[in-house]
Amino acid sequence: MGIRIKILSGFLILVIMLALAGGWSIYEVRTMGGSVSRILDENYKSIHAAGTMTEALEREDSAMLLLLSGNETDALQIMTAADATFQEGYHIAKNNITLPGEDKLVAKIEEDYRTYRSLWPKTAEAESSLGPTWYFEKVHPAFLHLKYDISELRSLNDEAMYAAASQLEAHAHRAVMPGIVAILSALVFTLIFNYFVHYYMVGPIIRITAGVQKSMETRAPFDVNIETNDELQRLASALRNLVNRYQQKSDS
Amino acid sequence: MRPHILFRYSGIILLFNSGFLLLSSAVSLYYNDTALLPLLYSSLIAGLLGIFPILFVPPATDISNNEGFTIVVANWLVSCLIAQVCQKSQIGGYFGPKINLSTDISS
Repeated sequence: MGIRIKILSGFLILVIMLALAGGWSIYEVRTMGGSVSRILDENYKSIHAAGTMTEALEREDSAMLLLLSGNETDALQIMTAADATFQEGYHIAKNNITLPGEDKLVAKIEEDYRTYRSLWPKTAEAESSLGPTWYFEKVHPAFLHLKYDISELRSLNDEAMYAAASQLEAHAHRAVMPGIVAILSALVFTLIFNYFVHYYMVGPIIRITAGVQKSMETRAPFDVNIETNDELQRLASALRNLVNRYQQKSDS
Repeated sequence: MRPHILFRYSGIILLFNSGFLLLSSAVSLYYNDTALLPLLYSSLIAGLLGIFPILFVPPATDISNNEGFTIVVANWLVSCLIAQVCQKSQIGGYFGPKINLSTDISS
């Protein structure tokens, strides 16, 4: 194998090592970006929707209490606005089902909200029959039940978000490690490459030079042997012939 | 002691390591686990480091006892180092199934 190919292979191996490490790091960083996006898309939206629903539900509960205190106009206004907000939050959660079990929770929220809404008085006559007993026996348990369902949805997404965030740390570590390994490998490789260049290229050139000088000065035969099958061996062979011919010519 | 002889035979062992790591990465690919990239990367690093001395150093027929012992010890160490490369490329050295967050949480 020629010197050119040997040197080229050395540099090529270094380039491949660094390219591999770079490629892997890019892959890990891209995956990390995907995890961040997943946290935002899959979990944060649902957490935010659960917050919106809880807030709306509490406003509806306040409206119920206002209704009991006789302030029907304000109660109705608050109730209608809170209902719209709740529906908005609910639809975000319903359209963002990404975790196993999340669909059941959303369906349960829908069912419990229907039950809660069915308790709203439909007519003025019905309103007049309302009292604290009605509130504590029917409305309040339904309110607590629904609130619990929403908090379950929130917890499910909270846990998933925490787990996804923990994975980010692993991705960051994995993005760094190939680089460190490649640098260390490249360092070791460079030292070995340097040793080989010195031993198989620089060393023979020095020996050939010394051999030619010795032959010219002392008329000793050129006895430099190069063990590699490359240009340097052919150079040594050519010089041996040249020195021999020169010595034979000068003898005659 | 001739270091280049040591490098050549370490290179051969590294190529063996590389081959078996490649085999392991094929198994990893079959099971679709997280060890695929570290195994493949270690295999390529071992292969690249292994093939280079074979290109440079011509084969030797006369290996002394001391060189033989050193080759054996050095190759055990090199194999351990390659295993470390593989392990350090993975978090905590744990090769497990791909984590499916959703399934884990629901269970």
